[in-house]
Amino acid sequence: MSAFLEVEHLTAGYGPLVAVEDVTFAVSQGEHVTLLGPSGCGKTTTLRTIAGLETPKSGRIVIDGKVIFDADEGRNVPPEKRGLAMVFQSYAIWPHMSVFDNVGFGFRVRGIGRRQARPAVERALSLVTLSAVAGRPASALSGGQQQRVALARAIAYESKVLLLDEPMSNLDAQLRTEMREELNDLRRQLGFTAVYVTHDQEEAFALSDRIVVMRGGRIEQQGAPSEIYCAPKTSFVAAFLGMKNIFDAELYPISGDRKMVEARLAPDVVLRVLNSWITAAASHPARIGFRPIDVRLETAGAAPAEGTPGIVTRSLFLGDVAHYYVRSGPIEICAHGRPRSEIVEGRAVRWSVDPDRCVVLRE
Amino acid sequence: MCFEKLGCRLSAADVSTERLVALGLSVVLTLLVISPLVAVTIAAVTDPAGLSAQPFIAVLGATRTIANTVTIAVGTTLFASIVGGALALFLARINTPSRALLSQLVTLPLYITPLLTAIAWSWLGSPRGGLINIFGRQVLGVDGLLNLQTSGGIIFVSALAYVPLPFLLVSAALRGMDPSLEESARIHGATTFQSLRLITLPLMLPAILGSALLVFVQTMGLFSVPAVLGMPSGIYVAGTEIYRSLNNFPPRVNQAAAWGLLLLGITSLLVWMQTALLNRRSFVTITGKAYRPRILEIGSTRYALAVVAWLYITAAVILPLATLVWAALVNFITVDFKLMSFDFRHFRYVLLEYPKTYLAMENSIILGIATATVGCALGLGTSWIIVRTRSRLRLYLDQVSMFPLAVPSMVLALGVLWVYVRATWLPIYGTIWILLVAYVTHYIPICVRAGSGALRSLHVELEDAARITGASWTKMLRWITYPLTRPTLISTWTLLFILSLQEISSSILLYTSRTTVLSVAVFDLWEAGNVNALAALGVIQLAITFLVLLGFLQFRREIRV
Amino acid sequence: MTRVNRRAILKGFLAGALSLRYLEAAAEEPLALVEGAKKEGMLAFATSVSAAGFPKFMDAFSARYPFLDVNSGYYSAPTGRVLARVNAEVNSGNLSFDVLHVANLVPFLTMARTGHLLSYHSPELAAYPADAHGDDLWTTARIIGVIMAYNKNVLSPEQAPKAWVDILNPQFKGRKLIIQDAAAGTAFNQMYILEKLLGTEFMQKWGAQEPIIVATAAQLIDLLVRGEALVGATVDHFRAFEPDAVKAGIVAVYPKEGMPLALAPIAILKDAPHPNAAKLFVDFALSHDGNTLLAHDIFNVYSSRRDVEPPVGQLPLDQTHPLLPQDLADYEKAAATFPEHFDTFFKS
Repeated sequence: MSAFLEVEHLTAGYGPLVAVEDVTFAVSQGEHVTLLGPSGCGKTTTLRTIAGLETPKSGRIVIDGKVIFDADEGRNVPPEKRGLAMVFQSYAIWPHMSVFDNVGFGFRVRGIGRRQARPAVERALSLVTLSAVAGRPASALSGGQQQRVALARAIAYESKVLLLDEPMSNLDAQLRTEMREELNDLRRQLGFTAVYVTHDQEEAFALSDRIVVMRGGRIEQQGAPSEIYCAPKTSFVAAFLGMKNIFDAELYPISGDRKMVEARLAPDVVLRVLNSWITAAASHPARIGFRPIDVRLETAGAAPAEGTPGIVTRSLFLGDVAHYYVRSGPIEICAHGRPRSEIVEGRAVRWSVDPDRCVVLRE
Repeated sequence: MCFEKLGCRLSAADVSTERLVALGLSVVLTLLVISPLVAVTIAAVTDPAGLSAQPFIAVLGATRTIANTVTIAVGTTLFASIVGGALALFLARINTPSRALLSQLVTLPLYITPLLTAIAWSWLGSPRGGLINIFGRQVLGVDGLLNLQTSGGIIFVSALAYVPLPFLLVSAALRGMDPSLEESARIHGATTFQSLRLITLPLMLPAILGSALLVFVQTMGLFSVPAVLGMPSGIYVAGTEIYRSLNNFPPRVNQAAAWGLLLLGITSLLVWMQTALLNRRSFVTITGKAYRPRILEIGSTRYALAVVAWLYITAAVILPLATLVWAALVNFITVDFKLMSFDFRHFRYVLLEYPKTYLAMENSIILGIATATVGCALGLGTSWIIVRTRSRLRLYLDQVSMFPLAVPSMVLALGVLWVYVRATWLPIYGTIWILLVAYVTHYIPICVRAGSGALRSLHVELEDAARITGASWTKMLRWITYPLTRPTLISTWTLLFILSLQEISSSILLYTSRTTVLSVAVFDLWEAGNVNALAALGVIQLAITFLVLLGFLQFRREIRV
Repeated sequence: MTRVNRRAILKGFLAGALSLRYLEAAAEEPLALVEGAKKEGMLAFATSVSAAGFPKFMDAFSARYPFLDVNSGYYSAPTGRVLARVNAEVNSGNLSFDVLHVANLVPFLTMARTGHLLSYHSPELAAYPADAHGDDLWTTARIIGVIMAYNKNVLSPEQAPKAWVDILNPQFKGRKLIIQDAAAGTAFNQMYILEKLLGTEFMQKWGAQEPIIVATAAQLIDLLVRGEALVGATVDHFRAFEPDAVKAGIVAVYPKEGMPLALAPIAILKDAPHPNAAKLFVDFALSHDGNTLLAHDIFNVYSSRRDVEPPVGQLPLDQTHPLLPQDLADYEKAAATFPEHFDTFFKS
């Protein structure tokens, strides 16, 4: 697949502050790519430079084969000529115009009359199920409705790439789930290319074809959701995606077994991990991570006796799941699982993780 | 004991205090605001014999004056709004060079009384002897370059003085606007210009209209500029007619009142129309948030924009000030460089010989302090009742305190004059306190608005936290509310002090020789044709203003650090 | 066009002023007055004379009666404003002034009629002709003539007007003339007399010349000096003889048809808060020394005392062809509507 949107070595900032540093990624046509990361990681800045609302210091942006920004060549196409569409965090619905005029704005500024624009506008409105409010002033809408108008506006006039800057963060949890579904449906129907910015990992997973995880202005890792989920490369990505159990360990080769290594988290805490690292015979310091959901807990005494012994220090009942904290020597791990009445605070347990569920992380 | 429906914020004792305060404030405000208007209305429809339509008939017959008044008010409003709004755009939203400095300079005319600007411009632009015309004759060989003693001249000088109002209001609106509204327009295909025209401008309409209305109301009752530039040419407006009616013998008191009522009618109508118009479309773009405004980058045209700003500053601040200082220092008015010599004789005269100087300074300063303090106290009290309580008098207080916005200050002064000239039970007629009454009444809207703004941005939870921890209502006010609203209070105090220092429209009607103030002293000197002394006194008046301003800025810097 | 009644009277006191050397009876201030004034401690004086010259006069009075505070109650403003203020106070029973002195006879006639003036027969009145004072209620303290003036640096003497009718010449059209506005006492006196003398048509044509209108005579001279206009047509005569004005090139013109007079009376108000101090003040103002100081020294105007010389450089009064109103009732009535009447000619 050839890249539809290419971002190359983008560096951007305000004054001495560098918000985005040497960021490179590509989006194929029809793909939904999410820039994911904590606040201040540079994801919004990156999006805004693609939009043309901010000017990067160096780098190159190409959309559909056309260079819209190139610092070396001195080329910088203004936002209105880039052929993009954007949904803002605050929706940016113009209160002094009707819903119809908001959605049809792209046509109006290109000199296309209302009559000609009507079919496209009405179609967009029906796609977001807002046909009924077309004539109303935009200021009379609820938050959720405004967001849909923003979406309708973005899809009404055909654009190359749809940019979305945390569009769901002002909605309540239930609306958010609904909107995610609608957005997915829309994309399946219309097949647009999207670059999405969010800090919500669940949202990113639900919507994206690929995720670009950012931190401190740089890209930590990019890949498909399952890829990133199963094989985070760094502690940051792992932690950000919910891998709560991350520990320093020493890796020791297992004689006779090249497929596995031993990870010694503490004198009495040893796990077996898939080998992707060590070739030599000597030990190797590393970081090990595994998800709470992958931890198996057994009460001490139940057969078979495998796993690491530990004491339950805390247990939190959360309905469908329970969170358990188990201490083994200097290490405290977190385990998620269905609530079990016998696992209470102070109980002695044994815990274990499948080797292919443990990940060796780079720093 | 808690009162459920008041949200547990006030105990029983506090509720009665609150009721008392609300009632007291309502009485005070009614007395201050409504009684003068009633007095004007009554005087306008009576004559010494009884009820009469004669005063009104006389006034309505003066069609030329009415036409002048309206023309000048409309012209000034248009001019000031366009220039002010444009400057707001240039300096708040476009990458004009030195825009921070320019933004400060552009608001300077607020601190210079229009009387001095008018006088300075009359020296510059009077048809034969004006400095600009002399320059034109001698250097350029062109005669009659500029004649400001015309309606156009009055509009020009008045607009110069009023530009800061729309500038400030529109700048605030621009800064309070969510920049993503413009950004989404740009993304969806609008050019910079289209975005300004289709998005920014319509959203600025409330601010533009609001400031235009304020300017219109004030210029309808304007006195100083038409007195200096209009009277010599026989051009009269309502303000100068009122002045003339009262200063002729025998004084035409009822006619003055009729003029006042006419002005009041027109301005009230407009204010009502504006509220009706804007209420239907409420643009919630002005949140309490201050956004980081998105600055438009527009290439080399921005230098032209800076030039426009500098032109305004030159015309409104630099030229008049320079002329005043020159006239104060030059021995006598001449444009012959050989004859020009400079010294401080006029300052010596004004400070050591002219009998009115110290009295005027003393009165002005006392009045300034009193007006600012009383105004702030009234404003804070009233706005507290309006914002923080659910008193039934809330709405009334809100309306009454905004009333003076629709009343030209000269009309207010007329009313105050009549209310108190016969009120022997409150002998403030002829004293400095009647001026205080007029000033405070005129500035109540500013005080209440500032107070409301400060209280609204002070989260009520901060006060509640104090109450829950055990503070009484008064302790809460003293330790929480007052310190946190102090910055706004101090700004408002300073603004009121400066405004009252330049006030002339009310003062000219209410002063006596014992209670003369600086503006009146300046006007007297102008009428006496004592040009140089007038310039010296004007410079002194401005010096006091700027000292206070500097003091305030310094103080503000200190409390920030 | 005849000046019947007033002519005789005028001849009377002019003859007196020129011929008689009146022996001043040193008026001994009655002790009662001084004692009374000491208790009052203050004099409140309302006048239309400009603040520039008056302190000297007030200082001289203060020197004689140092226990009197003359500054706090002193009020000076153009005639109309002073009268409006006094009127308002009288009507509301809140009078703060003792003595009134403005350059317009009409308010005194009116107030005399309505009983708002205090009757006081000052010993100084012996030095005044009978018609220079009215029933012990008011006395003419200064006589001002209304003339024309021009700036010889701007207008050549050949082109300067010599008679009132000359100001109607086309060369003076369009902001070339300056007049004082209706609130000034001198304007009323001049225009009333000229309209009677030269007709309403004269006034209308004068209005058509579009003169500049100012509030005071001082302002008028200032504009003339600066070359802002060519001719001052309503000039308080003494202004044109002030040394600074003469130095700046101002030349006075005694018009051929005659010089309208504006009498400036002084009177005590009926409900004056400090009547004793007021009487002392009037005595001083009307005394030989005081009136010489006031009329001759400070203001360069004519005195109605028979023993005070005309000011230096000015024509003796009878040579100026003085004009006074003939029908006082009509004169008083005209004053009531003068502002509107003025507007019909001069307002734009």
